[in-house]
Amino acid sequence: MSGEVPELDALEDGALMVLFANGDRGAARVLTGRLLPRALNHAARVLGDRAEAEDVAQEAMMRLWKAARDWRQDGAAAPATWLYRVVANLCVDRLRRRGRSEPLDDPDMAADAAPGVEARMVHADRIAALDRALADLPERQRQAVVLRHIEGLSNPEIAMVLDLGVEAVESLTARGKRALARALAGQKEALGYGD
Amino acid sequence: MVTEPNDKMLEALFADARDGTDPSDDLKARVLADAASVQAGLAHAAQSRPVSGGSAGTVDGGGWFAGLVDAMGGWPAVSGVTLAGVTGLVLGFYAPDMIDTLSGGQIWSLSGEVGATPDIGTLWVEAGDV
Repeated sequence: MSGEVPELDALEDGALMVLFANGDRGAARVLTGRLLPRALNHAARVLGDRAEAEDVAQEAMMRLWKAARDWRQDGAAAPATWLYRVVANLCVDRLRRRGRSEPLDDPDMAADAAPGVEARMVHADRIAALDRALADLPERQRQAVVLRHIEGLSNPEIAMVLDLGVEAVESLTARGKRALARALAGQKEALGYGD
Repeated sequence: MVTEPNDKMLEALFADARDGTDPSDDLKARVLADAASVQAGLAHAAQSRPVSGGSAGTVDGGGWFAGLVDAMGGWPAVSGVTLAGVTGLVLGFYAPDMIDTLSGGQIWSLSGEVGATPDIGTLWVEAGDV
Protein backbone atom coordinates (compact mmCIF):
# COMPACT_ATOMS: atom_id res chain seq x y z
CA MET A 1 0.00 0.00 0.00
CA SER A 2 1.44 3.34 -0.95
CA GLY A 3 2.22 5.79 1.83
CA GLU A 4 3.02 3.05 4.32
CA VAL A 5 6.25 2.74 6.24
CA PRO A 6 8.71 1.14 3.75
CA GLU A 7 9.88 -1.35 6.37
CA LEU A 8 6.35 -2.73 6.71
CA ASP A 9 5.87 -2.92 2.96
CA ALA A 10 8.97 -5.07 2.71
CA LEU A 11 7.72 -7.62 5.24
CA GLU A 12 5.94 -10.84 4.37
CA ASP A 13 2.34 -11.35 5.41
CA GLY A 14 3.26 -13.79 8.20
CA ALA A 15 5.59 -11.28 9.84
CA LEU A 16 2.91 -8.61 9.56
CA MET A 17 0.48 -10.92 11.36
CA VAL A 18 2.89 -11.12 14.29
CA LEU A 19 3.28 -7.34 14.32
CA PHE A 20 -0.50 -6.97 14.16
CA ALA A 21 -0.91 -9.21 17.21
CA ASN A 22 1.56 -6.97 19.01
CA GLY A 23 -0.59 -3.92 18.34
CA ASP A 24 1.00 -2.48 15.18
CA ARG A 25 -1.72 -0.59 13.33
CA GLY A 26 0.49 -0.09 10.30
CA ALA A 27 0.59 -3.86 9.90
CA ALA A 28 -3.23 -3.90 9.80
CA ARG A 29 -3.23 -1.30 7.03
CA VAL A 30 -0.63 -3.12 4.93
CA LEU A 31 -2.38 -6.47 5.34
CA THR A 32 -5.71 -4.89 4.44
CA GLY A 33 -4.18 -3.34 1.33
CA ARG A 34 -2.72 -6.64 0.22
CA LEU A 35 -5.37 -9.16 1.19
CA LEU A 36 -8.75 -7.41 1.14
CA PRO A 37 -8.85 -6.95 -2.67
CA ARG A 38 -8.04 -10.64 -3.15
CA ALA A 39 -10.69 -11.77 -0.69
CA LEU A 40 -13.25 -9.43 -2.24
CA ASN A 41 -12.44 -10.46 -5.80
CA HIS A 42 -12.63 -14.14 -4.99
CA ALA A 43 -15.97 -13.74 -3.20
CA ALA A 44 -17.36 -11.48 -5.93
CA ARG A 45 -16.57 -13.96 -8.72
CA VAL A 46 -17.87 -16.95 -6.79
CA LEU A 47 -21.01 -15.29 -5.43
CA GLY A 48 -21.71 -12.90 -8.30
CA ASP A 49 -23.06 -10.32 -5.88
CA ARG A 50 -21.13 -7.26 -4.74
CA ALA A 51 -22.92 -6.69 -1.44
CA GLU A 52 -22.61 -10.32 -0.40
CA ALA A 53 -18.99 -10.38 -1.52
CA GLU A 54 -18.24 -7.36 0.68
CA ASP A 55 -19.87 -9.04 3.66
CA VAL A 56 -17.85 -12.20 3.08
CA ALA A 57 -14.60 -10.29 2.60
CA GLN A 58 -15.16 -8.33 5.81
CA GLU A 59 -16.03 -11.46 7.78
CA ALA A 60 -12.99 -13.29 6.39
CA MET A 61 -10.69 -10.39 7.33
CA MET A 62 -12.23 -10.33 10.82
CA ARG A 63 -11.36 -14.01 11.21
CA LEU A 64 -7.85 -13.26 10.03
CA TRP A 65 -7.44 -10.56 12.71
CA LYS A 66 -8.75 -12.91 15.37
CA ALA A 67 -6.35 -15.62 14.26
CA ALA A 68 -3.35 -13.27 14.56
CA ARG A 69 -2.86 -13.88 18.27
CA ASP A 70 -2.06 -17.55 17.73
CA TRP A 71 -0.50 -17.16 14.32
CA ARG A 72 2.62 -19.21 13.76
CA GLN A 73 5.02 -17.58 11.38
CA ASP A 74 6.50 -20.98 10.59
CA GLY A 75 3.06 -22.53 10.07
CA ALA A 76 2.11 -24.43 6.92
CA ALA A 77 -0.29 -21.92 5.38
CA ALA A 78 0.51 -18.38 4.31
CA PRO A 79 -2.03 -15.77 5.46
CA ALA A 80 -3.27 -15.30 1.89
CA THR A 81 -3.88 -19.03 1.43
CA TRP A 82 -5.54 -19.21 4.83
CA LEU A 83 -7.76 -16.27 3.91
CA TYR A 84 -8.75 -17.78 0.55
CA ARG A 85 -9.79 -20.90 2.42
CA VAL A 86 -11.99 -18.90 4.77
CA VAL A 87 -13.51 -16.99 1.86
CA ALA A 88 -14.15 -20.25 -0.03
CA ASN A 89 -15.93 -21.74 2.98
CA LEU A 90 -17.98 -18.62 3.63
CA CYS A 91 -19.00 -18.56 -0.03
CA VAL A 92 -20.06 -22.20 0.12
CA ASP A 93 -22.18 -21.42 3.18
CA ARG A 94 -23.89 -18.56 1.37
CA LEU A 95 -24.43 -20.51 -1.83
CA ARG A 96 -25.99 -23.39 0.07
CA ARG A 97 -28.18 -21.03 2.04
CA ARG A 98 -29.65 -19.43 -1.04
CA GLY A 99 -29.81 -22.70 -3.01
CA ARG A 100 -28.45 -22.97 -6.51
CA SER A 101 -26.88 -19.63 -7.20
CA GLU A 102 -28.56 -17.69 -9.93
CA PRO A 103 -26.42 -15.70 -12.34
CA LEU A 104 -26.45 -12.18 -11.06
CA ASP A 105 -26.20 -9.16 -13.20
CA ASP A 106 -24.38 -6.53 -11.22
CA PRO A 107 -22.71 -4.01 -13.51
CA ASP A 108 -21.82 -1.82 -10.53
CA MET A 109 -19.38 -4.46 -9.41
CA ALA A 110 -17.05 -3.64 -12.25
CA ALA A 111 -18.04 -0.06 -12.82
CA ASP A 112 -16.13 1.45 -9.94
CA ALA A 113 -12.67 1.01 -11.38
CA ALA A 114 -13.26 1.47 -15.09
CA PRO A 115 -12.26 4.85 -16.56
CA GLY A 116 -14.75 6.15 -19.18
CA VAL A 117 -18.44 5.47 -19.62
CA GLU A 118 -18.09 3.34 -22.77
CA ALA A 119 -15.14 1.40 -21.45
CA ARG A 120 -17.01 0.93 -18.21
CA MET A 121 -20.02 -0.51 -19.99
CA VAL A 122 -17.91 -2.91 -22.06
CA HIS A 123 -16.03 -3.96 -18.97
CA ALA A 124 -19.27 -4.45 -17.03
CA ASP A 125 -20.78 -6.54 -19.85
CA ARG A 126 -17.75 -8.79 -19.93
CA ILE A 127 -17.66 -9.27 -16.17
CA ALA A 128 -21.41 -9.93 -16.08
CA ALA A 129 -21.05 -12.54 -18.83
CA LEU A 130 -18.17 -14.18 -17.01
CA ASP A 131 -20.17 -14.22 -13.77
CA ARG A 132 -23.15 -15.80 -15.50
CA ALA A 133 -20.96 -18.51 -16.97
CA LEU A 134 -19.19 -19.06 -13.65
CA ALA A 135 -22.52 -19.33 -11.84
CA ASP A 136 -23.47 -22.28 -14.05
CA LEU A 137 -20.41 -24.26 -13.01
CA PRO A 138 -20.58 -26.67 -10.07
CA GLU A 139 -19.40 -24.90 -6.92
CA ARG A 140 -16.01 -26.63 -6.65
CA GLN A 141 -15.20 -26.05 -10.31
CA ARG A 142 -16.11 -22.41 -9.92
CA GLN A 143 -13.88 -21.97 -6.88
CA ALA A 144 -10.98 -23.74 -8.59
CA VAL A 145 -11.28 -21.73 -11.81
CA VAL A 146 -11.49 -18.43 -9.95
CA LEU A 147 -8.52 -19.26 -7.74
CA ARG A 148 -6.40 -20.51 -10.66
CA HIS A 149 -7.21 -18.15 -13.49
CA ILE A 150 -8.30 -14.96 -11.76
CA GLU A 151 -6.50 -15.00 -8.41
CA GLY A 152 -3.42 -16.67 -9.90
CA LEU A 153 -2.87 -19.32 -7.23
CA SER A 154 -0.81 -22.40 -8.02
CA ASN A 155 -2.46 -25.81 -8.08
CA PRO A 156 -0.84 -26.89 -4.76
CA GLU A 157 -2.10 -23.67 -3.14
CA ILE A 158 -5.61 -24.31 -4.45
CA ALA A 159 -5.38 -27.85 -3.13
CA MET A 160 -4.72 -26.40 0.34
CA VAL A 161 -7.56 -23.90 0.04
CA LEU A 162 -10.14 -26.43 -1.14
CA ASP A 163 -8.76 -29.32 0.87
CA LEU A 164 -8.28 -31.46 -2.23
CA GLY A 165 -5.47 -33.31 -3.94
CA VAL A 166 -3.45 -31.52 -6.61
CA GLU A 167 -4.67 -33.90 -9.32
CA ALA A 168 -8.27 -33.20 -8.39
CA VAL A 169 -7.56 -29.48 -8.67
CA GLU A 170 -6.00 -29.92 -12.12
CA SER A 171 -9.06 -31.85 -13.24
CA LEU A 172 -11.46 -29.26 -11.79
CA THR A 173 -9.73 -26.28 -13.38
CA ALA A 174 -9.45 -28.00 -16.78
CA ARG A 175 -13.10 -29.05 -16.84
CA GLY A 176 -14.20 -25.68 -15.53
CA LYS A 177 -12.26 -23.78 -18.15
CA ARG A 178 -13.65 -25.96 -20.94
CA ALA A 179 -17.19 -25.41 -19.67
CA LEU A 180 -16.64 -21.65 -19.50
CA ALA A 181 -15.28 -21.58 -23.04
CA ARG A 182 -18.33 -23.48 -24.27
CA ALA A 183 -20.72 -21.20 -22.40
CA LEU A 184 -19.12 -18.04 -23.75
CA ALA A 185 -18.41 -19.24 -27.27
CA GLY A 186 -21.45 -17.56 -28.81
CA GLN A 187 -20.83 -14.20 -27.16
CA LYS A 188 -17.47 -13.32 -28.65
CA GLU A 189 -18.80 -10.57 -30.89
CA ALA A 190 -21.19 -9.20 -28.30
CA LEU A 191 -18.41 -8.91 -25.76
CA GLY A 192 -16.11 -7.09 -28.14
CA TYR A 193 -13.70 -9.92 -28.80
CA GLY A 194 -14.58 -10.23 -32.48
CA ASP A 195 -11.23 -9.10 -33.85
CA MET B 1 -14.29 -28.80 -28.53
CA VAL B 2 -12.74 -25.58 -27.29
CA THR B 3 -11.04 -23.55 -29.95
CA GLU B 4 -7.96 -21.44 -29.51
CA PRO B 5 -9.78 -18.13 -30.09
CA ASN B 6 -12.12 -19.05 -27.25
CA ASP B 7 -9.11 -19.63 -25.02
CA LYS B 8 -7.84 -16.17 -25.91
CA MET B 9 -11.22 -14.66 -25.12
CA LEU B 10 -11.25 -16.47 -21.78
CA GLU B 11 -7.78 -15.21 -20.91
CA ALA B 12 -8.92 -11.67 -21.75
CA LEU B 13 -12.01 -12.10 -19.56
CA PHE B 14 -9.91 -13.44 -16.70
CA ALA B 15 -7.60 -10.46 -17.04
CA ASP B 16 -10.60 -8.11 -16.93
CA ALA B 17 -11.87 -9.86 -13.81
CA ARG B 18 -8.45 -9.66 -12.15
CA ASP B 19 -8.47 -5.88 -11.92
CA GLY B 20 -12.18 -5.39 -11.77
CA THR B 21 -12.93 -5.28 -8.07
CA ASP B 22 -11.29 -2.70 -5.85
CA PRO B 23 -12.59 -2.51 -2.30
CA SER B 24 -14.57 0.64 -1.61
CA ASP B 25 -13.27 3.13 0.94
CA ASP B 26 -16.23 2.23 3.13
CA LEU B 27 -15.31 -1.46 3.14
CA LYS B 28 -11.66 -0.65 3.88
CA ALA B 29 -12.76 1.57 6.78
CA ARG B 30 -14.97 -1.21 8.19
CA VAL B 31 -12.17 -3.75 7.94
CA LEU B 32 -9.68 -1.41 9.62
CA ALA B 33 -12.21 -0.66 12.37
CA ASP B 34 -12.55 -4.42 12.95
CA ALA B 35 -8.77 -4.68 13.10
CA ALA B 36 -8.56 -1.88 15.66
CA SER B 37 -11.21 -3.49 17.87
CA VAL B 38 -9.43 -6.86 17.77
CA GLN B 39 -6.12 -5.19 18.60
CA ALA B 40 -7.73 -3.35 21.52
CA GLY B 41 -9.06 -6.68 22.79
CA LEU B 42 -5.63 -8.27 22.49
CA ALA B 43 -4.01 -5.39 24.38
CA HIS B 44 -6.64 -5.60 27.11
CA ALA B 45 -6.17 -9.37 27.43
CA ALA B 46 -2.40 -8.92 27.63
CA GLN B 47 -2.80 -6.41 30.47
CA SER B 48 -5.29 -8.40 32.52
CA ARG B 49 -3.70 -11.80 31.95
CA PRO B 50 0.03 -11.42 31.37
CA VAL B 51 0.68 -15.13 30.78
CA SER B 52 -0.26 -16.38 27.33
CA GLY B 53 -0.13 -19.68 25.53
CA GLY B 54 3.33 -18.89 24.22
CA SER B 55 2.77 -19.51 20.51
CA ALA B 56 4.59 -17.44 17.92
CA GLY B 57 3.32 -13.95 17.48
CA THR B 58 1.94 -13.54 20.97
CA VAL B 59 3.17 -11.43 23.85
CA ASP B 60 4.54 -13.53 26.70
CA GLY B 61 5.01 -12.37 30.27
CA GLY B 62 4.71 -13.34 33.94
CA GLY B 63 7.65 -15.69 34.46
CA TRP B 64 7.93 -19.02 36.26
CA PHE B 65 5.83 -18.14 39.31
CA ALA B 66 2.84 -17.10 37.22
CA GLY B 67 3.30 -20.32 35.24
CA LEU B 68 3.32 -22.32 38.50
CA VAL B 69 0.14 -20.61 39.66
CA ASP B 70 -1.51 -21.41 36.31
CA ALA B 71 -0.34 -25.03 36.53
CA MET B 72 -1.96 -25.39 39.97
CA GLY B 73 -5.28 -24.17 38.68
CA GLY B 74 -5.03 -20.42 39.23
CA TRP B 75 -5.13 -18.30 42.35
CA PRO B 76 -8.20 -19.97 43.97
CA ALA B 77 -6.37 -23.29 44.04
CA VAL B 78 -3.21 -21.67 45.36
CA SER B 79 -5.27 -20.00 48.14
CA GLY B 80 -6.68 -23.38 49.19
CA VAL B 81 -3.25 -24.98 49.34
CA THR B 82 -1.87 -22.03 51.29
CA LEU B 83 -4.76 -22.12 53.79
CA ALA B 84 -4.27 -25.84 54.41
CA GLY B 85 -0.54 -25.33 54.99
CA VAL B 86 -1.03 -22.45 57.42
CA THR B 87 -3.73 -24.39 59.32
CA GLY B 88 -1.36 -27.31 59.77
CA LEU B 89 1.39 -25.00 60.96
CA VAL B 90 -0.87 -23.30 63.52
CA LEU B 91 -2.12 -26.63 64.89
CA GLY B 92 1.45 -27.85 65.17
CA PHE B 93 2.44 -24.81 67.21
CA TYR B 94 -0.57 -24.28 69.40
CA ALA B 95 -2.01 -27.78 69.90
CA PRO B 96 0.65 -30.42 69.36
CA ASP B 97 -1.25 -32.74 71.69
CA MET B 98 -4.23 -32.71 69.34
CA ILE B 99 -1.96 -33.90 66.55
CA ASP B 100 -0.78 -36.70 68.80
CA THR B 101 -4.36 -37.66 69.64
CA LEU B 102 -5.56 -37.49 66.04
CA SER B 103 -2.64 -39.53 64.80
CA GLY B 104 -3.20 -42.20 67.48
CA GLY B 105 0.23 -41.54 68.96
CA GLN B 106 1.96 -42.48 65.73
CA ILE B 107 3.88 -39.24 65.39
CA TRP B 108 5.10 -39.36 68.97
CA SER B 109 5.98 -43.02 68.71
CA LEU B 110 7.86 -42.45 65.47
CA SER B 111 9.98 -39.85 67.23
CA GLY B 112 10.85 -42.23 70.05
CA GLU B 113 8.39 -40.87 72.68
CA VAL B 114 10.18 -37.57 72.57
CA GLY B 115 7.71 -35.81 70.26
CA ALA B 116 8.19 -34.09 66.99
CA THR B 117 8.55 -30.61 68.53
CA PRO B 118 9.38 -31.13 72.23
CA ASP B 119 11.50 -28.04 72.60
CA ILE B 120 8.83 -25.73 71.23
CA GLY B 121 6.25 -27.17 73.70
CA THR B 122 8.64 -26.53 76.52
CA LEU B 123 9.16 -22.94 75.49
CA TRP B 124 5.40 -22.45 75.36
CA VAL B 125 5.00 -23.64 78.95
CA GLU B 126 7.85 -21.40 80.11
CA ALA B 127 6.36 -18.40 78.38
CA GLY B 128 3.04 -19.10 80.08
CA ASP B 129 4.72 -19.24 83.51
CA VAL B 130 6.32 -15.83 83.11
